[in-house]
Formats: sequence, C-alpha cells, structure tokens
Amino acid sequence: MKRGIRSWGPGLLLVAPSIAVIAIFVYGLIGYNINISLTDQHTGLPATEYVGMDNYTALFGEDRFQHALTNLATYTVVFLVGTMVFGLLWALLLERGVRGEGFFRSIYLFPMAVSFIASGVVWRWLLNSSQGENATGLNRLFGTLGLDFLENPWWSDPKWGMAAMALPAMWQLTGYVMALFLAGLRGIPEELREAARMDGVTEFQLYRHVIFPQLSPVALSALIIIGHMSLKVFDLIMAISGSIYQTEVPATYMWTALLSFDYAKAASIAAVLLAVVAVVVVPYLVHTVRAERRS
Amino acid sequence: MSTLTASPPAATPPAARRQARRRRIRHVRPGDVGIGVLAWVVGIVFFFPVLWMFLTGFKQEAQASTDPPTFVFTPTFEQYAAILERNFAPYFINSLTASVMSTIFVIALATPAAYALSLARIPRWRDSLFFFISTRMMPAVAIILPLYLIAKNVGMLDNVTFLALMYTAMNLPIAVWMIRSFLLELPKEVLEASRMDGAGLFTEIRSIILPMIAPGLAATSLICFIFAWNEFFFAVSLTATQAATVPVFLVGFITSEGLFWARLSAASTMAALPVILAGWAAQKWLVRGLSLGAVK
Repeated sequence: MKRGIRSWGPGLLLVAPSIAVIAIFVYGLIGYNINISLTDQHTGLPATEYVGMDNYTALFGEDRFQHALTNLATYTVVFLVGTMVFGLLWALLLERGVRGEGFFRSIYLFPMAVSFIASGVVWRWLLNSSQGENATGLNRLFGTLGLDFLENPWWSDPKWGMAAMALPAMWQLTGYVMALFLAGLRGIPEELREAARMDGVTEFQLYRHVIFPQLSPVALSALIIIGHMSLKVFDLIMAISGSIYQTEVPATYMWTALLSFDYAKAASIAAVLLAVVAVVVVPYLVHTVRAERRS
Repeated sequence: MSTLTASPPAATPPAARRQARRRRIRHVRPGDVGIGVLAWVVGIVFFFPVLWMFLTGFKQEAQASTDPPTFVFTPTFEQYAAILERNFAPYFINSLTASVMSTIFVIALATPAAYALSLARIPRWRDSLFFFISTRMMPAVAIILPLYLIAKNVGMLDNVTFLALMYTAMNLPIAVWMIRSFLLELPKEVLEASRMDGAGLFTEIRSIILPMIAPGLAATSLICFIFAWNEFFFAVSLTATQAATVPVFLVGFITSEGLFWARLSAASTMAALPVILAGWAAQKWLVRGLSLGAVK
C-alpha cells in the first residue's frame, strides 16, 4: 500500500491541478447547465420549479430551432465536403513535387491563424450581395469576367445562404486538411509504390487501390476535427451576418436566448448542441485512446 | 517551419533518393509546368483576402470602394489614426493581457502534468489523457450560461483575470497533449545517463529536460497565445466595457461602421497581425495542436 502511494503519489500531485481546473470549469459547469435546462427560468428571475424535459420538448417542436438545425446541417455538409476535397487536391498537388513546396505550404496554411472575426470584414466585402451595377467583391469579379450568371446573393440567399457561409470556413481550414493529408501521403512507404509500379499498375490505379486506402485513418481524423468545429460555428456568423434569423445556427440561437434572459431555453439549446458534438467526438476519442494504449 | 524543410534528401535512403531524382527528371514536361501554375493560382486565392484587407487599410475611404478596385494608391495612415482615436488601445491591451497571462498559467500547469503523464511511470494515468483531450472538443456554448451566472455572482464579470482563467482552462488540454508529445520524443539514453550520474529528479527536470523541450514549450506557448488572442465567444459573453478584447471591438465596429471598408480593414489588420506573425512561426505546431497529436 505504502509502495503504491510512493509510485503514483508524485504523479498524482503533478496532474492534480490541471485535472481540478478542467473538472470544475468543464464538467462542473456542464452539470450546472443541464440543471438550469430542467427548470422554468425563462425570465431574469430565479427558477421556481423543475419542469423535467419540457424545455427540450418545446425546443424540438419549434420551427425556429429546426430551421437552425437545418442551417447547421447545410453549412456542415458544404464545409466538410469542400475542405476534404480541396484539402486532398492541394496535398496531391504538393506531393507531386512543386518547386518551393515549403513556401506554398505556408501560404495555404496561414489563414488558419487568422480568426473569423478578423477575416470577417474582408469576407463581408467579397461576399457582398449586390449584383449588376453596384456589385462589389466576388460578384464584381464575375461581372468583369463576363460570368454574370455566377453572380448571386451569397449568404443572403434564403435557401443556399448557409452554403456561401461555408466559403470563408473552407478558406480557413483547407490548408489544415491539406497538411494532414500531406503528412499521411509522406507516411506511405516508397516500397509500396515501387511494388505497385513493378506490377505495372497505372498511376490512377496506384492512387485508387494503394494510396487512398492508406489515407483513410487520416481522413477520419480530419473529418472528426473539421466536423466538430463546424458544429460549434459561432464567430464566423457573428462576424459576417450578425445574429439574424436567416443565418441562425444553434450557437447563435442560444446567444439570442441568453440576451433575452431566457436562461432555461439557452441552457437546453446548449445541452442539445453538446450532445450532438459528443455523438461525433466521443467514439473518436475512445478509439484514439485505445490505439494509443496499444502502441 | 521554413522553406528549408521542403525536401530533405539527406534523410531518405539512397534508393529512394535516386528514385526521386529519376522521377523529377522524368517530370520536366508540360504537366510539371501546369502543376506549378496551379500551385501559384491556389496560393494567390489563399493569400488574396488578407492581402486585400492589408492594402485597403492604407487607403482613403473613397479609394476603398472604387469601381474597378484600386490597386495603385498613395498609402495613408489616416485609418489607423482614426481607430486609435476610437480608443482602440485599451482593447488591444486587454487582449494582450488575457492572452499572455493565460499562456503563462497554461504552461505552468501543463508542464508538470505532461511530465507525469509521459516520463513518470504511471500507466494507469494514461486514461486521464482521455479526460484532458475530450474537454478540448466540447463546445464552449455548453458552459457559458453557468459561467456567466457564476461570474456575475462573484463580481468577476468584465474582468480580464477571469477571462485569462477561462482561456487557461480552454488551452490546457492542448498544451498537456503537446508538451507530452515533445517529452515522449526525448531520447531515453540521455535521461538514463543523467540518472547514472546520480542526478536527482529536480536536477534532471531543471538541467536536462527543460532545456531539451524548450523549443517545444515555445511552440506550445505560441499556439496557446494564438487561440487566446482569436477567442471571441467567452470574450463577448463575459466582458462589457472594462475587459473587452480586440475581437469584441471589431464586431462592434463592423456593426456601427459597416460600410467604412478602409477603416474596418485597418482594424482587422491590427487584430490579425500579431497572430499572423505568431502563426507563421508556429505553423507546423498549429497543425499538431488542432489535431491533438493525431499528426506529428
């Protein structure tokens, strides 16, 4: 027993402060949040009673919340498909051996460090909805190039606005996905390619049957990481459109509920979003930790 | 990561190098030129938004919205002066305080934790890694309401120190994970040799481990600084007039002066510049940080 303490005691002391910070600020507060979501605290006044799952039932019965979820889904699909496809293309591009690869990699990666808030201003200009004579930004560019049919209202479009909203997000994170794929491509042993070439496969077959299957773990990591970022989207929308109904997602809806002191509703939206993110992230983390333990 | 890391021929075995050279020679043909051109086009598309923001910040307001856009102009600092007049400095100082303070807290807490989770032999503690990394991916939205209520009750709303504490909690998982990965890369022989020489745990940490992971600690600090500097959600929820940071200023500015492109661009440039510089220096680590170590 004494030996036990001596072997894990110092380690415990070193880890304890960090664990305490996270336990209190993350898990403690998540519990607190769920607690609020079960009460009737809809005004600035304290809660009077627990109402069970009523807030959640009300939320899912609401058109506005479904609209927010639909928006989030559109945004997520476009964002994920865009970053994955372009990320893979850029990685293949660099992998083919471009002169000055390091330079290009830096250029593709650097938007990652710029926040949506800071790049929001220029994206508001690029994705300006005016068309024809008054067009600016991308619409203006299309007009000049004689591609008028491409001019569109971008994020102000009621139906596909959220797809346009994903453009700045793609700009920011495609380089990151590229870096993941590039690392994956570099990790494939050269012998494997040589062997395939010896067997006389075409370049296309080589990628289709040898290279891409090797990349699937990397693709999964990228999907999960980009996916959970997408579900949490808030900054980008606040910077580009502000919290308006048309581009509303759960996070911004929660924000407006918070501003109108409807705490119980805000807490239940937050809890739903947490659950959605957890469904994506937890299995992945369990998998990662298991893989780590095996190695 | 610099351009120097582009193609390290020395690290590859001779056969692969020969093969690579053969491939390169074979590839001097139209397709190669095409790839080069494509790389440039993509590069320009990626670089354009930030370049445009930077240029617009030095224009007169009238030049910022001309048709066609102006590329050649006499730069002016008028917009920067105008922003400073709007009391930009306190926001900048708040951002700097919250980011630097939280980074110091994070490194101080994460280094011992990472040490315990890597070098010290406590296998069962690996599971606590799960605990660490899982929190990083949870949405901040899920805790903001309780946080707000608590801060209000203890009178910590609109307080930079409180914000720095939040950023500490936010960045701690990444820092633990990253520092641990640097510690795991240390050559075992060095540590064993130092133990043979009778160095105690404290001496070992101070004079052997810390100097060796110093570059890793620097990279981790840069990443934590970038994330804290860019953070918006906590800042906009927990601050008002005293402790508001640059992103909060910027969003307010977009709302109030939405059509003054030159002035807005100057403000965004000031918000982005510190992290662009830090990000350029720490790129490779930024990828590792976001991936929670999935990619080295």
